[in-house]
Amino acid sequence: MKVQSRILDNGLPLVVVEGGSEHLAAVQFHVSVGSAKEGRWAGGGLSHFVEHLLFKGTKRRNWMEINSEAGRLGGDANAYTSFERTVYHLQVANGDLAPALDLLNDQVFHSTFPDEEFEREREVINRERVMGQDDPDWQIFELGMATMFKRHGARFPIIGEDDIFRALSVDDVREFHSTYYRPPQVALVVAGGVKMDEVVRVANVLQVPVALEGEGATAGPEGPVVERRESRRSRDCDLVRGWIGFRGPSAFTREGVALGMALNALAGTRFSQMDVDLVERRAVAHELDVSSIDVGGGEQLYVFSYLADCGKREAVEAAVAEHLGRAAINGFSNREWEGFRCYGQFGRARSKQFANHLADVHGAAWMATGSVESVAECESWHDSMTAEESVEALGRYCRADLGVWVSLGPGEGQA
Amino acid sequence: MNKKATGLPVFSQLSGRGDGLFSFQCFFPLPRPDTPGLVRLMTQLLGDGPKGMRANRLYSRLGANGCDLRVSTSDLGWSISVEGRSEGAGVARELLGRLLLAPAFRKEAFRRERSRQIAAIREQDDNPLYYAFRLMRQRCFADPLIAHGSLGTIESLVRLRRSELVDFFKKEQCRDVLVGWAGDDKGQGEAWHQFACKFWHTQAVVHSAPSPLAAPWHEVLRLPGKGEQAVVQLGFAGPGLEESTVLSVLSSALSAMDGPLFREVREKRGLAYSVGVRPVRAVGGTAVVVFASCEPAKVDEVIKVLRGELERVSQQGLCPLLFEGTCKSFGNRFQRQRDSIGGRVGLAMGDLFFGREGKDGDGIVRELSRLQLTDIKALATNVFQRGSLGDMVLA
Repeated sequence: MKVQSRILDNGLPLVVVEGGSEHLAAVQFHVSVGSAKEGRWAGGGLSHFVEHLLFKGTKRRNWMEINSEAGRLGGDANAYTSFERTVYHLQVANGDLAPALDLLNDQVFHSTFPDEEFEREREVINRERVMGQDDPDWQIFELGMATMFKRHGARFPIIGEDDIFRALSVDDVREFHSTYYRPPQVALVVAGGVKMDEVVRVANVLQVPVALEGEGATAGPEGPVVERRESRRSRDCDLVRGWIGFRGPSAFTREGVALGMALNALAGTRFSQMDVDLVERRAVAHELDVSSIDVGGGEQLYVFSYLADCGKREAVEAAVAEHLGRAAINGFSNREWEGFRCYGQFGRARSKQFANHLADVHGAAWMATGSVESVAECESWHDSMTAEESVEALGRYCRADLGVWVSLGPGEGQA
Repeated sequence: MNKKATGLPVFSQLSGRGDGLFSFQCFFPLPRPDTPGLVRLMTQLLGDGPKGMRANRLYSRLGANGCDLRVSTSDLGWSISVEGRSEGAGVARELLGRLLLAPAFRKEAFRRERSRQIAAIREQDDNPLYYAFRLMRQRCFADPLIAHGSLGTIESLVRLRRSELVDFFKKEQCRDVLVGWAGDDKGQGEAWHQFACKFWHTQAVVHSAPSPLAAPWHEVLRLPGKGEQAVVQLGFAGPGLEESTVLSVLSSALSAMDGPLFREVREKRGLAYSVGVRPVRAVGGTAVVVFASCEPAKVDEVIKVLRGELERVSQQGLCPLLFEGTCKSFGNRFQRQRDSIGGRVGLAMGDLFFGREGKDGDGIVRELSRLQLTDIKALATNVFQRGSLGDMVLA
């Protein structure tokens, strides 16, 4: 597998991953604006709104032509918005690389935001919002983020606050798009059965707006972590959902890799000590997961989430606190640590079999660090990381007196 | 495909990728269980480890050798698979052998896994859309063993005894197995083949008789929902499993962004965010559920638009470009699956299961290439005109 980058003649940064598929090409545009970085539109969910509206028409194609052209290419065209990025992706047979790039480039840079589509799409997003309100898993996530941040843009839901979202106009959308949808805030990432030269040849002729001058979107500051915060919300559902999150360094730093490894060793596998204890031995939780979320600005959230019966929340939280404390003191045995490392290496090898996954990981890394070496660097840190270094990071960022501890379920607090 | 003296054909393929990974999978087509939810619970318990070895020990030994073991259940069968780095294959075979010869089925694990399965049902019911799908499935299939899906019901699980589950495993684990392997090392392929032949001697897929579907209901069934949105569902009798590929193409085309439902309900009218077609494949038969989540006040409008589009498709068929794009999308999807070793074995197992020509993972691609627009139209007419069961609204 070979990863290369260059700036194209039209100013667009390009990252190409040769590998992950023999016959397919995963084409992605990564835009360095997400819901946490919306500047004066903060809280409106404008990044997500733009993501929807880029499928509604360009100078050369109306919405039906966009959808049918993506369909004819046999590509699964879609997009997602996170706190720090918006990503547009299409996976096609590698022989269809040129038309796929033409279509996606047209959507990303040359959308016209037709007035007649604006209100209709706002209603579709309202439906999406209500769907999220009906889903307890979505609600616990939003509660966790709102409890975690007081100033940072990630305190708002990705879809936006209802009242701010409703006040947005089509002019806001056009201004936001023309400000941020420009190189170097936008990068093209292609992975799969492709060669760098071939991608450069096709991508060099794409029409791209002139580069952005000055600073790109930023996430806004949040003070240092000094306390533990709790939030409980009552909801008429059968089970309690819990979310315990900690702020920490970016996953593309050595310390971030150390922390990620410690949390995986604690709760990320079927043989992790916290998982074995809470789900199997004490049986206080039905499910326990660990994940991480990039919120931009070099910051990452590290999260334990769980599902438990009503009345078990205190027991789960006490056990998590106990494990964090114990791990920070006792660490992991060499045998245990080598087992996790080996398992992690297998997981890495497995994920390299998927072109779209490779494009996503390398795109995220490029947007965070501006380097194509960062993924390989993280892998080498993973391979050389000691249990002691990992445990030190754990003790610094993930402690019972820090983080947010939130829960949602019957009798958990205010409805 | 190799056929050894034991009579067990094992799909075996050298991946030629040189990435040092292997995948070994055994798939057990689902017989009719006696209790809803039993097979899934048995599968989860199987993954809890063999006698004399706790789950964490089993998984940590596999993990330390760069391997992972997974058990899963679908509406069509259950499976156990191991994937990993070639160096760990010997350990993986030893542990899998212990698991298959002497699963522990511990009492405390039985209680815990049963409680987790009940929680999984309750978790689904907390989500209005999944809750609606569960109710619709129960309504579509007359046979309660199929109507409840692989999770079963809380009542059936509470009544279930551990001994039933152990008896079921003893009876079923030796029959109707499909086995597949892919990897880099020819010698290792041979070793996995010999391993499989130790456990199983015959391979056969006997599809059960078609599941009886419920009698159609004529009024729109209105039930209390679990959220602010209304969930609209139209239920139809689907074709037999032998028409699984054509059903997949029809469902994908109708749900696609350039398909008629997305276009008319979401893009033109802004009535819903989520709209599509969900084929429900069960032992011996299928049902088709067309769904949309919308504002409660717009339920009747959504039903009218959905019905109108389904009627149009069943009379006129799909537009040729949509058909062509959907087939191409399927081709790309299978290509993506073939990019991973596990996906490659999974595709080959699917070919074997559905009796498709090819049996090397290409069977479905060949079937797609023979598919005509007229086949889709015939199925649409059959399902949407003749097979209507009824509508359900949860609001």
